[in-house]
Amino acid sequence: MSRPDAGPDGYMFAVTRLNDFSRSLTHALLVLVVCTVVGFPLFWMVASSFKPASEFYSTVPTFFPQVWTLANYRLLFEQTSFAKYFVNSLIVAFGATGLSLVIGGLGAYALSRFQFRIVRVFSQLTLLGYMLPEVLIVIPLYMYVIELGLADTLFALIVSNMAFTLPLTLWYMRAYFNAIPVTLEESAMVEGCTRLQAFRRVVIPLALPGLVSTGVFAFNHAWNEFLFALVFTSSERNKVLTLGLATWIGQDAIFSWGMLLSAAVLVTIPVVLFYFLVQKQLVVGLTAGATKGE
Amino acid sequence: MADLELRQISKQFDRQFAVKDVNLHVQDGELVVLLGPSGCGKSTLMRLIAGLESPTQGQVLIGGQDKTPLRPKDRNVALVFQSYALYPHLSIYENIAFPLRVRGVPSKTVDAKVMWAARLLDIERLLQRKPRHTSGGERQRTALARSLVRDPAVFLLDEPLSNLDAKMRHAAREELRSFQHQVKATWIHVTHDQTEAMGLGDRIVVMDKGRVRQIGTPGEIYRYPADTFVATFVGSPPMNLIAMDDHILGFRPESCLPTAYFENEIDLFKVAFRLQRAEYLGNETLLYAIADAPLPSTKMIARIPSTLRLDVAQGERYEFAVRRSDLRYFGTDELGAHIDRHLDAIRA
Repeated sequence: MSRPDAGPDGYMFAVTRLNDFSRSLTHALLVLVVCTVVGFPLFWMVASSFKPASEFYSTVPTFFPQVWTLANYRLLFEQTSFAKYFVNSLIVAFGATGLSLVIGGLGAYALSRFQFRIVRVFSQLTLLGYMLPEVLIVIPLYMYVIELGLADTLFALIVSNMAFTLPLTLWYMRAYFNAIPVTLEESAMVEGCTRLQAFRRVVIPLALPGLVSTGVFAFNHAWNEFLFALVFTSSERNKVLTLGLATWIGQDAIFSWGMLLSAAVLVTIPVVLFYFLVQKQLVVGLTAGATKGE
Repeated sequence: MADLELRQISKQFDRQFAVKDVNLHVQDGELVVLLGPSGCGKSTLMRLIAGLESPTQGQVLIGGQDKTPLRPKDRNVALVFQSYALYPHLSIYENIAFPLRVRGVPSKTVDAKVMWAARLLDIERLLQRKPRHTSGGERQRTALARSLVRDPAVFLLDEPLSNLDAKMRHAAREELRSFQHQVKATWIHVTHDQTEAMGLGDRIVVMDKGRVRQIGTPGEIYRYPADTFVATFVGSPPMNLIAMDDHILGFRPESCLPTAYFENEIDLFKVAFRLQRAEYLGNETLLYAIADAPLPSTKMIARIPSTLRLDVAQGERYEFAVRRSDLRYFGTDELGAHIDRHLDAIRA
């Protein structure tokens, strides 16, 4: 095909090329900024955790450890109750996540499928509950904890963390369930399921990405939570990581940079691991938000 | 398979009757079509039979047993939804196997059943696919196969053809019919498409506003509509209705032909009209007209087969005729029930 007038076309071509170039340049710059801002502290944390104590304070800071050592990690387990904190944190995080998924999942299903007035009012109220910040509810919750004899127990942390993430789980999962056509359940029921069987066999598999997303959120929250832990627990036996590590900082001086950073590395690992495990589902859950019935 | 009986079924939603006083007896192996405009209660009636809704009043009997209080899973009916309701997370194979898996049927039996149903519906090559990778027609067959594997007492199909395009719909209708013959199923088919109803049903139940207006074979429904609603809902274009003094006169567009066509027949009713527009459709021509004196001026349609050569001009007056035996009479009240003129004549 011949082009009678290549001028404007050629110009447009150049502009498109330029646009493409500037777009990829912007992209590259943004990635660089994110990598630096987010990545560098992480890198520094990991690198430093392998440095011997002497290297921390050398006047010319070393980028990579000159002598690689695991001494920080060894001391961490020998001299502190880090292992105990770690187990406690795992118990609290998994407990809160599990409870939040079971209660939130079933609750959201009810909110989605039963259209009574009281149900609607309730779901509005839960949203209101979510808007309250932690500092506001920590005192009333503390009173409950005392009254119920749960002071200084991990269970108190599980329940309060769950209570905090529940409204989000309810709303997010409700939207998810709303997107699953009722006819699928009805079909399952006609084909021989009870309502609960239909829920388990049809609704849960379809809502899995949503459950994973809310699960990650609940886990993350419980894993990082500090205020509840500070107020509700006191004994060394029941400290979780956030609280335990925080007591190493401040007071007179830093307890030990080496141990602190190696602890930080270990604290990060479960979260990263968790993300990697559910990454695929998580992406689907956050972007799709709603699986179509077909 | 079994017969199905509905006794005095009513269903109320917020004081509004979705279904009112429905009585129906479907014979074993019969194909009955529920026909009506959207919102007439036909889908609700189907859900009542399936047990997804419970009736405010009345009983559902399947095979002579009262199933009214039973849950959907205990009724042994199969329901094919308009959307087919295939499970998106399961393969076609697992979709078909679903009802058997729920019942804990051993894998070997499941496999045999699924293969049998898939072969019957010619979807064997799709078994490993997910529903989203199949076409509308294939999904419909999958839904049918799924309903078939557990030998249901009654098949319920809720507008199964409405998701298909016009061309496929016709082919699918044929398939459904032959499929129904093959499995000798008691079958209830819901649709708002009167052509589909006429072509498919052993009997048709015409519904409007939650009530049954007429039950009958396609021929009965078409030739002897029970009231003005049925007369206009069934047939396209609808029956012409002309309001006379004490009754409504009805005749089908195709019974209204040029007087010359009837040659020496004597028992004719003259219909004069002024032509407004002629619509040439190839095999036939539709004449949109206004009835002229002595009839009250009313919109009407005449349908002339193309084999009758006829030149018509807009605005002209024509005199056509209808055989008296093709005339129908209806009451002028709201219901517009059919009036039997013969009886009137005998009484007079």
